[in-house]
Amino acid sequence: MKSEADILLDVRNLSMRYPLRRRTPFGPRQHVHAVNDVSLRLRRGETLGIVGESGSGKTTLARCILRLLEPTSGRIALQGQDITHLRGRALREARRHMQFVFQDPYASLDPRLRALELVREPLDALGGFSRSEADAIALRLLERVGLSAAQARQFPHQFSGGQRQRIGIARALVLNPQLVVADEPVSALDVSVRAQILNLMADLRREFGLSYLIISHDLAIIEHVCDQVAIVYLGRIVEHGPVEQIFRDPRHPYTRTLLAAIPSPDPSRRRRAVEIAGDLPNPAAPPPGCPFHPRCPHAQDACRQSVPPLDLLPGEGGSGAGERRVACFFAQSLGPAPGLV
Amino acid sequence: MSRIFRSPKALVGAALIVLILLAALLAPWAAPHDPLAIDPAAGMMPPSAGHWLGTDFFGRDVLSRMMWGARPSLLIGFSGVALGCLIGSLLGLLAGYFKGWVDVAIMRPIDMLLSFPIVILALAMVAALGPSLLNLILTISLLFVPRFARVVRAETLALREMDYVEAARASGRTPLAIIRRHLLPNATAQIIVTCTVFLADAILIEAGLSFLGVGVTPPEPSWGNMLAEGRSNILGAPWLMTFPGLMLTCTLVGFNLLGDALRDILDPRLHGGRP
Amino acid sequence: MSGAANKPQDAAVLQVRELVTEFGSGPSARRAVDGVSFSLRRGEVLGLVGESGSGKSVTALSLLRLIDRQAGRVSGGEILFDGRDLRTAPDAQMRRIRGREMSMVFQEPLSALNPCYTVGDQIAEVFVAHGDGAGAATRARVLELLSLVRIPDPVGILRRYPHELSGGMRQRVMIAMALAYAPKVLIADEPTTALDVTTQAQVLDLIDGLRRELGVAVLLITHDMGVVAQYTDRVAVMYAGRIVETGEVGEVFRRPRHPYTEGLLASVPRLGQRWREGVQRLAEIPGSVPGIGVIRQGCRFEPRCARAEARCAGAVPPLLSDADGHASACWVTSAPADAAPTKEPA
Repeated sequence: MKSEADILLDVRNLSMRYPLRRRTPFGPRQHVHAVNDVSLRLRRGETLGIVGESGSGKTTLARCILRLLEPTSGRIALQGQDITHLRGRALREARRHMQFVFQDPYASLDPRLRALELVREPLDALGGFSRSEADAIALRLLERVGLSAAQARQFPHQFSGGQRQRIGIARALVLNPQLVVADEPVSALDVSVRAQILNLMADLRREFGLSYLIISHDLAIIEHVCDQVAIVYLGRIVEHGPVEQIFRDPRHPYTRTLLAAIPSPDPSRRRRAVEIAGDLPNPAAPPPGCPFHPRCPHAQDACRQSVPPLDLLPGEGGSGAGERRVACFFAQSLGPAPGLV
Repeated sequence: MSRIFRSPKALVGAALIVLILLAALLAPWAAPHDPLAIDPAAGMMPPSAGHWLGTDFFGRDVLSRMMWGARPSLLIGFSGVALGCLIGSLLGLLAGYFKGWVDVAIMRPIDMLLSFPIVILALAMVAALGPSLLNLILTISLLFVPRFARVVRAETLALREMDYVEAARASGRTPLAIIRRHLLPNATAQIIVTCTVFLADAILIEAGLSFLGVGVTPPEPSWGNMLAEGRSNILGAPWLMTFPGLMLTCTLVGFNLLGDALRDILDPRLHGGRP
Repeated sequence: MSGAANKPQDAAVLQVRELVTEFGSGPSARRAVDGVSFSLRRGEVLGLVGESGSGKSVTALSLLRLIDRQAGRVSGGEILFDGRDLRTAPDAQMRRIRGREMSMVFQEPLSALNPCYTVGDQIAEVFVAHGDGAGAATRARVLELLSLVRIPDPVGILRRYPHELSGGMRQRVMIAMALAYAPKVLIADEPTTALDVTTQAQVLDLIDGLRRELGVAVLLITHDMGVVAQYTDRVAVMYAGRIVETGEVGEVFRRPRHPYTEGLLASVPRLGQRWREGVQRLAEIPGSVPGIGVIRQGCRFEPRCARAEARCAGAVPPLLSDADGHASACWVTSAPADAAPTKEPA
């Protein structure tokens, strides 16, 4: 078992809910539980992928972890320090160690600032660097991500989507963080450019010893960049474990549904139409019990009554990195996944 | 910048404004007569060689009065809008960024100010403070502080949702630094356009106040009070109202055209670079 | 046109030849579509795949002559549909064809549907537009359509507004509208890009099922190689306004001829690649996609191509087809022995 000191990010029972507007001032107030009792851990140097569809709460989860939002309950610890309710200066200090890469390369860069200024901003915000020192650091990073010194003086609209994303990545690295959270880092990019950015992120991880938390709906990307993956549905983690194991032998019905739904870029493996029942439920009115049961082909009475806990899969010991957890009462008894990868 | 020269609307608007500005600035030298000089013998004369736009009841030259009359109108308009813009934009930025109780604390009094009809508020101010130039400027700015606050607040509300603002927060910026470095520069385009449009309104309001007798008072000329004087003689001496009215119209049209053109020029360019 | 088989279902229902669509006019006109040719057979799904700036969406809009509204012009080529050239057809004829014989499904159903009208009214509008009135007969047909696209509770849906439905449901409504008159051709422009993976599978399965049922030919426009692989019969790869490769989908994926297709296929991450095949790094295509209308003398892909030779920058390579209908436009990889320079690959 690796030592506790190795744990970079420790999230326990995190919940984040939004109140909804009431129809009358007297009715019960409804909430959307965007994140519902989520626990996860990330060790130094590990990469964790968070996979879910819209309404799963994955983006809210990322923003809570980064404290861009304040969670309703639960605990977030970064390098052992509890950052759940930090504010102001203390929060800004803590932010040195975790940075964010945004999804939209067009909206995430201030159109009025040059590339160099954009990358330099975290240094300016932190203070303690002279202008030339900060410029030098920022320039170095820009070059590392593949942009030249001449390009550093250009404005965002002069760059392509892929280049803008590189600027965003450089900006995230300038404070030398331990943890980088990336929200759909390549979804807004052209297909032929995605590989460039994914390779870049993999290279940087090795070079800088980074840990990544990558959020995506695209399982293929996650599989390529991450060691661990957590599958999220309606604000809860339903399956969590090493990427290879989960994709080879998914144990949660939702994971199986997801994997079956992804069109594989291989015409020789044509999937016969899999009946995927129903639509994603309304996050404001989640079904009772297991959130997936209305669409689950294996649902039983127990599933309607209580929420299955995210438990270790029996038979796999607590071997640290190899831990497999599934939130399904019947994870064990499901047969082999039909027609998979 | 170069796009301004390519837009016919902008050029016409700018040309009108420049013309009027020149008339106002050069009045002390370019006006053919002293605007206050009374010449009863030459009263109520239609346009002639000696008086290009005619004379009024007291024999004063209409053209000179019009040129001189541009000065208080423009001065009060520009100063009032500038002051209103400064204060109103600041309030709008704060209210839009912080939301919550800050928003309420700022916007409710603003709403109250907005609910007063313009003329009534202006009359009340002038009655309370007296019709000096400074007071007129203060009145105009008071009218525009809430209007700027509204517009800038709306713009700020939209801008603060942009990812780059969130990126600045994630970088560790303080809220004030974010407002200064990210929100204000990106809101500037909208503020400039709004200023241009409000300038037209401000000049019109000043003219209205002068018309009612609570703005610039005679014998000092202002387009508004010239219109008032000409009103009773509109059939007998139409030149008394027509020319000041035309000048006022041209000024307003100029500002509106320029504002319109600026809005077209500035908007898509700034909020994009998107393919 | 295929020479060998002359079965009725092989007949091309839509033939596009050297289509050119421009934006702007005079010397600064930019060609978003620059000499595109393909044919669509009855009941088949042709995938038109490309990235931003490839001209795939503009091509779709050009077929229905919807491009005029965006300050563009279909300025060259032929669009042969049912014995007529749509490019030069009179407006009245186009209006009869749109929504009736050739219809379109758009990417973002939330903006393609009018938020002020109910779903029932909007589907009925298709019938009204073509002169069939809004009475009981129309209502019956609307309900038929809704069950055709497998919407649960069709009667209840009639009175709902678009924002009350999920993305997948809205897209089904759009498909229902497009199929109102059982068109010969359905153009689907990125129909599932805005949808979740599970919903995407449902909608694409639906389209696939419907085209088998109704014999509609589908032009499926997408940037997703997975969608192409799973849901199309033939594929045409577009780059910077031109088609660079086309052929039967299995063949193109197995043996891509054009360096761009090759690069694209190699750079798309596949499930299982890393732990099964040990692929550590994805193959990259350097550089980025050119903007619309950047004028080049030679091959558009040349600046990014690892195999580029001197002649590539000199002239645009023609689309050359081999005997099986697999065509590509590359000076380097199209073997001279294959050269059967047809303008329209089968």
